[in-house]
Amino acid sequence: MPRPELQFSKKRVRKAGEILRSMSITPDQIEEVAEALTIAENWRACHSYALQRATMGLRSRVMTSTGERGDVSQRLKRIVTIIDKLHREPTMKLDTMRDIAGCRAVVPTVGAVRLVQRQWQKSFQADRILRVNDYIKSPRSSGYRAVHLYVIYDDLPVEVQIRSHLQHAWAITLEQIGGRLGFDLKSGRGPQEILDYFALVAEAMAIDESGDDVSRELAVSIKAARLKIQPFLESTQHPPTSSR
Amino acid sequence: MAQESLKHFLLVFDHKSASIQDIQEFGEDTEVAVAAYSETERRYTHDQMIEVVLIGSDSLDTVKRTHANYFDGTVALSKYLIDL
Repeated sequence: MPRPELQFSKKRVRKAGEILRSMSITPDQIEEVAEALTIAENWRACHSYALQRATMGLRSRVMTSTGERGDVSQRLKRIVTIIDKLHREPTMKLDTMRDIAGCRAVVPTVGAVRLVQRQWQKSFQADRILRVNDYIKSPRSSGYRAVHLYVIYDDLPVEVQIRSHLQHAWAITLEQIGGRLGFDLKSGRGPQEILDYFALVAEAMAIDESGDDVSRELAVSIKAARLKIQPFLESTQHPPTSSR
Repeated sequence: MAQESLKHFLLVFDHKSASIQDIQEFGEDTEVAVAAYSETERRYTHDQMIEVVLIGSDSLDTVKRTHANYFDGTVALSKYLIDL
């Protein structure tokens, strides 16, 4: 595949990010915004080559370390999500955003997640691994668990997500419920009752997956939290009010 | 293992009906797929209920598992996720 060329300077990519961040548009800014959008799209497209290489790398590492294919996919971040991220994180710059390109492996167990992670760290130049976010050891407040590696291909970062089947099932359910209710639950936005339920459930699922027993207190908390989210679940026949 | 292909799928997901409205398959042509991604996103910017996303994988079956949130019929692997 031909490697897409960045048609603008990095400085202009950053400026494009600033424009997209502000987005309070007067008529004379419309052209500027349109151009910023074009630049952001081109910047994203430039990541496709790096992403493809990372995805191939992930596939082969899953195979090497677990002896199985696992499930591996890739995605380029949606433009609206990029803009949303610029809004949410005021210090974020478009030219240094690290998860415009992302690939994901879903493997059977947490043990397999660790094998794939170690395989990356063993077989990839250390200076091309920008960062490792170990959300198994330190889960996000939402309860999200996985390992994320930020790796460099072709001078561009790619986010590599490695999840176990159970961790993935949790994350997918959170997205589905968020979509149904119209909340971006995975960013911690939405009714506290729902966020609390998912955080507790993630903890219990991690304990289940480790082979230990869920404590009585946790089981009781989950039951109580489940009752509190029932009204939200019953209301989802109505279309959500907004979504990302 | 022989290097397998990477196929691109452009999904148009409708949050109103919580279902996929359209799937376009682009095979391995990344350039065309990425251009179609931007074009389709622009077409739906007015409609916040429509989510457009470009996913690449070896097959649509794999996409249905790795991005199961866009598809029905996910298997609840944990008792805590049943009947939500």
